[in-house]
Amino acid sequence: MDIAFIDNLAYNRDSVMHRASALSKVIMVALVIAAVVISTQVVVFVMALVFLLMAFLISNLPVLRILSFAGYALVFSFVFAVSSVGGGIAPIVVMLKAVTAAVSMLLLITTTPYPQIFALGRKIFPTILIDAMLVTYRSFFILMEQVGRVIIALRMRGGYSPARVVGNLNIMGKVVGHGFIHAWELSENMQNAMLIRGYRGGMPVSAARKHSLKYSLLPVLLGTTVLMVAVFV
Amino acid sequence: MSHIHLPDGVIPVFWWIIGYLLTAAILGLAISRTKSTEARRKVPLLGIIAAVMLVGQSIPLGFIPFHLGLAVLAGIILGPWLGFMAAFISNMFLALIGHGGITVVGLNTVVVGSEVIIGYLLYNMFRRATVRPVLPVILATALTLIITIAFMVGVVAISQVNPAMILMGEDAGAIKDSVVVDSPVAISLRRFVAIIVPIAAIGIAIEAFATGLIVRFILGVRPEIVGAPARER
Repeated sequence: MDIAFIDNLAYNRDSVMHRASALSKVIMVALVIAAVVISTQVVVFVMALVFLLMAFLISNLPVLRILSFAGYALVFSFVFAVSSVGGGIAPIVVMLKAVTAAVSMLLLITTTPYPQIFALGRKIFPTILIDAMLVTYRSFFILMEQVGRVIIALRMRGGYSPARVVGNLNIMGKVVGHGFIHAWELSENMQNAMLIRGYRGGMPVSAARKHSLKYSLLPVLLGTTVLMVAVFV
Repeated sequence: MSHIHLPDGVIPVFWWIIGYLLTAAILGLAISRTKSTEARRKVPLLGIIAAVMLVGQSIPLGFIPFHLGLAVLAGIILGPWLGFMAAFISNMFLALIGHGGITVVGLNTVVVGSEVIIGYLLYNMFRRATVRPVLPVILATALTLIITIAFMVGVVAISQVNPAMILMGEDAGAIKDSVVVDSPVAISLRRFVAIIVPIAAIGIAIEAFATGLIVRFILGVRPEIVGAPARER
């Protein structure tokens, strides 16, 4: 899981795409996914991928490392493509559909901090869900760091070996159990802190950087172009 | 265990819209059933348990490509309604980092959320019969997974989902992916069941055993987390 790596790219890099508003990039993803859903033409997906790669190149991001995440979508779509050979959509189209959607999503999350995306979700989802997502985002890093430390300690003491499945299971049960208890205590502390601060629902989210309309036009234009290509080609 | 890892653009629009509608309906019910004061109080716990589910899914168990789902445990700790919300949050996070498409979040939430709800109900049923909660947890987890897998097989049978896709996944013991294809199914349902039974049995055993170990550890330190009487300190 590379949430920490993605989070770092979204927060600490600066580019035209980073300066575009979260809303404009979500609209871009929605338009690209709409194109992915309606089109079955190889040329559409190739053009969409070219546009998205150009956006990555101007975003000051490690393109190859990020694109390796799209390999996940490629593998699963390959499985689907192979399993349904002989009917329906051509296998190459299935794979291109999956990769195009995944790359657009990667462009969104590597240029937009998660809290900004969740803040947008406040317009759609109930407050409890968005607040809980913000807590999840915050506590995931705390828990991963803690579990990471425990696993390092286990390995140093010979308590974790890739070959011992049953032994690993036993130890992982304790590690995750310990994580649950830590999480429970963390939630109690957080709950007290939130009550003291007068929490009544709706955590505030501040923008990571100033957004301007001129930067926000780029992702919308990109998404619209991809959709237009899908509609007219 | 039964998280669907399919990328966007592969599942037909009809099915992912059905998934989102079902998820919206159950989430609406869950939020209406949770009193506003209780919801505010439990936001930190909800967010953190969703984070623990993500952490559990981040830790591989040695050389076998399997990770824990922890959906049943989330249901036991949070209850069915908040547990369903935790399933939605963890699926949304996974989609944002490319583990399954954003269009599959609805179906994923229905599948993982059903594990939460069924697991909670079965645990409470078995819990009345015994004093120690470890055995009920193992039984509830195993039975829940059997039910959800049977449910998936039922979906295969009635909706002409391609069984080959369900057999594929990053986890050896997991039922992963369900896709409706225009073509006739690639392999027969009977063969699919014959293949899936031993694979699923391993996955169910690992998840049930691990969940039991986690609960055993929690019982030794903070038993009140899983509803057992608190120990004097």
